[in-house]
Amino acid sequence: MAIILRLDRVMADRKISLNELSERVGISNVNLSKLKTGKVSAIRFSTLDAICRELNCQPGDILEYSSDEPEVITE
Amino acid sequence: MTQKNANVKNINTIGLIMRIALIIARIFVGIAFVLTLLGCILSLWMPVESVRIRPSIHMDVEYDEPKDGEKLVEGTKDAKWDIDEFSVKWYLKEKKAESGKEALSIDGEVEEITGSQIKGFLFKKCLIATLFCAAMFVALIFGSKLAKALEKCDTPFADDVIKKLVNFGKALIPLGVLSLLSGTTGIAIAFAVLILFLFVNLFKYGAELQKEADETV
Repeated sequence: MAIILRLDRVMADRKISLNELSERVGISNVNLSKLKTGKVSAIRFSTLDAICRELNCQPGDILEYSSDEPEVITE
Repeated sequence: MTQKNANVKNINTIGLIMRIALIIARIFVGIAFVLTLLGCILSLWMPVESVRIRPSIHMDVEYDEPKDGEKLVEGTKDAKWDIDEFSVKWYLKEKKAESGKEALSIDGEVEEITGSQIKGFLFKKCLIATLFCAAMFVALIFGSKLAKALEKCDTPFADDVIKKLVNFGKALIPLGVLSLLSGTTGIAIAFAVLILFLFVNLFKYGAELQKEADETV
């Protein structure tokens, strides 16, 4: 089971940088970078809400489930 | 973590105070260790027949007559008490006193103490004290390391702090054993060691929670 993060794809589509998004969302660059590279084990709804608001997207655009792909986030 | 939590800052301050206090304690314990070690060496060098002691004690005691009419001491009572290796004979005699008061004359006689007895006694006491000081010094060193880790940490649930806590707990064990054997504050130290290991497990659990919190954005 693996949840894959597509945040980098959505950020590229919206042409927004890591610094700018982190400032708008209200989390640090480091944490946003970890999120982008999938090095997190959990995400708060408040963070997801802020990201979707700033990127004008749905949670499903950022989070994808795949049972075939190797684990990106380990629990 | 960009800004430190207020509780973590308090822990850092407590760590600093602990470190300073432990450094001061180490100085005193170090001096005590040197003195007790010197005592051990001197007691070994002491010539066996250099001294003989025949101590005697005399006390005159006056106290208020017990209200219920019973006397504290009936007539004269001779007693023999042992203090360490020395045997003390006590002789009690009632004396005349003002009305409402009772008086006793107490004489204590210690059997002659030879130089070898004194030497043995001194060496035993100095050796126990030296070992105690050494164990305490080692415990204080590990305590200082723990205090430094708490002073510098960003979170008390870090691996480094837990490791130092475990080492401090282990360093207290010889102190506890020595205290138990010498019959002093052994029980208190034994409980302290148990509580410390309880805290170690609490901190390990805290570290797991900390990791989960750190990995949540």
